[in-house]
Amino acid sequence: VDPAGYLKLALENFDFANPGAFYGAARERSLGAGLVYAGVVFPLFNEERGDFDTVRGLAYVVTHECDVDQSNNRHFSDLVVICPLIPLHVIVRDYEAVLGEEQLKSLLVSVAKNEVFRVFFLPPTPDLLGVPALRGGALLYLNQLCSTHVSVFARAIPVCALSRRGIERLDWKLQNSLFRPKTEGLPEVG
Amino acid sequence: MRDVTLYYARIPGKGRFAMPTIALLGEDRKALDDMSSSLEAEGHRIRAHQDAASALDRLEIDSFDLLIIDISPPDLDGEELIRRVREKSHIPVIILTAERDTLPSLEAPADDLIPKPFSQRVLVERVRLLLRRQGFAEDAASETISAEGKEREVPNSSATRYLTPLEQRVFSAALRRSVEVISSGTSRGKRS
Repeated sequence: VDPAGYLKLALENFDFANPGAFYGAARERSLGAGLVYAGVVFPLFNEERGDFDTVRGLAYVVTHECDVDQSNNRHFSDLVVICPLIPLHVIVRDYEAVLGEEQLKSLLVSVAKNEVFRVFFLPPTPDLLGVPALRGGALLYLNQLCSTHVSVFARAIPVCALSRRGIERLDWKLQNSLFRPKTEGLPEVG
Repeated sequence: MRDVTLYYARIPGKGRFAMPTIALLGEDRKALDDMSSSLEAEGHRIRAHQDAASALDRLEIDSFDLLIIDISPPDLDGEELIRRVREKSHIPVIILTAERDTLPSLEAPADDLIPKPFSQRVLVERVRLLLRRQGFAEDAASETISAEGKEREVPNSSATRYLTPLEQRVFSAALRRSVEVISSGTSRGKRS
């Protein structure tokens, strides 16, 4: 397994002109959509036992800041929707072990082109931002969207923010994942 | 026919609301009968065949929507069977195996792998997911949806790749390796 080689392959197929422009600094931004936090506590299903573990890791915040802002006119929401991140080097190792090198390369090309349903490629963060955990790139696996309590973020650390262009791209992905035409296969009533 | 079959709208080439036809290959007659009963109860059309290896030669694989192969007997070479299927067709394949270590060693990838023993409910659900994915692939073709007053195009299905159940499990396992477990449901349960 050569994580650097696979990252290079992904970036060669990443249709975003300047991967560095995907991110900005997280400081002084209030909790909300676009931020990536380290040390987020959230539930993760344990398939062997059939119940949930409580885990801590990197996560992207999906909930909009308006919904978790106590001074907002809306009712304050105490739950925050997040999506955990999988560092690219981890998925590369696991995927290659099970499905082989050729399929891994094929997957990475498709992920980088934003063609894999419910998988979103996060390019490496620029060195300037100082986010070691994301310097090798990461994937958001949108099937693992979940919610956690807002108090968790008091102890989590904001590490970076997606740029406006980055968040537009992810919002579009989320929209495709969650707001599909649902008329097919559902009972036609009324 | 039960409502559940309505999940299978638009299976490519089969027309809307086609009843999926599933080929079951294996050596254990009773296991084949049990699976046939469970899947037929969900509205699937089942064709079960003993002697998997020779059945593969006889069958027109492309006439099926899904292939389930029980490779439990030790003399059956699962990889070889899948390879032979793939020479003929790209239909989804589910492998049933009693070998717990088969998953990492399978070089010719199946779309899903179910270790034995399994409940019929698990089999039915995995079949449903695979077949529904086929239907989804066509549903997503170049449709437009309206959001916040803007028309946006859903990517064409030809460019959209869907993770197989096996890939989904790899992703979930990778996520688990990416986090620190700070407490488990079981340990909480024991304390209470």
